[in-house]
Amino acid sequence: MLPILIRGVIIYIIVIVSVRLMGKRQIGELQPAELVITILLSDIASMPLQNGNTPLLQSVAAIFLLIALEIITSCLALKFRPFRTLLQGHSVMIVKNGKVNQEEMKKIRYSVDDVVEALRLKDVFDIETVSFAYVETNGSLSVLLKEEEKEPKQLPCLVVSDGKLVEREFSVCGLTKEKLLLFLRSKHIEPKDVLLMTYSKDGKANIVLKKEQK
Amino acid sequence: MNRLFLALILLLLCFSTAVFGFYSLEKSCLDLEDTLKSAASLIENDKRRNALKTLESVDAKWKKQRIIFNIFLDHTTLDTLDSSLPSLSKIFKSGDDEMTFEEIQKNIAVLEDIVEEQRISIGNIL
Repeated sequence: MLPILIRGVIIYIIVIVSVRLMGKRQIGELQPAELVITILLSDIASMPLQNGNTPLLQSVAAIFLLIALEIITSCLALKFRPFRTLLQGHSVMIVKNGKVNQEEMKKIRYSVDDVVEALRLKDVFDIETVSFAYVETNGSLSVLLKEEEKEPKQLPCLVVSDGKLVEREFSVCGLTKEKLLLFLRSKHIEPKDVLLMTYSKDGKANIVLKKEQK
Repeated sequence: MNRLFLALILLLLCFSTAVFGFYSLEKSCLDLEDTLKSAASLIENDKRRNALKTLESVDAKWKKQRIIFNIFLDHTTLDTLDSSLPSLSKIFKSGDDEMTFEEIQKNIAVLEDIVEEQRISIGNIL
């Protein structure tokens, strides 16, 4: 009995250290890979407590291995966008101007009931009032409501991220690569100098340069 | 950057511990196997005094190397060896050569299994 208690203390300390190493996210904000690691960690940590025959080192090594791999993949995801997309996917627009995008819904296996329920959880009871709704990579729904005027609000799209053009968003905000480059050149800005740029159909742009971060 | 560095160190630590564990276990198992085989051979050749000394040395070696097995091995397997190896000399002293021989063979098989299970192979991974 006593060895199990001491194991419990050791495992507790190791799990706390591991979770701290992984970084600060609430359960609801975890990416799929992070959620898998969290579930695995709890399972592996309980093994030497449930079974006194299991060597403690096996669980400790497995926990550290998972944490190390998680940190390495998250660093790679930070550095390389294609890897991030591969690991986390990308956000999907499922509602535009009150209309549901059925193709996208099929791709992510979202039923209409799922959409309506997710909207209700955001206190939106009428889909017609939704200007744009995105399913984010962690499964949560982000909603932009229509303003009271008849014209729907122009959605600001992320068109440059960390110096790289996000061409997938161009069509949403009525932009082309040439138009964007021309726009930036008119402001004497190179895309590689841009940390973040959003653009909406009404021509409103918000640019944050990399230098400003310093 | 610090976290990445720490992650790489953790990774290195995990793999180096595993490699160290494998080689330590292999060395200990082979040592015990050789001693047991030597004892079996002495019993076959009716060299009883030397056989008894060898079996007593098995007990001493086991006591010394047990910690390595404790750290890296499932304790169920450990218990099998723990209950058998120290008693070999006692069984031999009682005059039951057949049983001594059986126990020696059983322990050799368990030790060989331990080493095989630690190897990197498709069977072990799957």
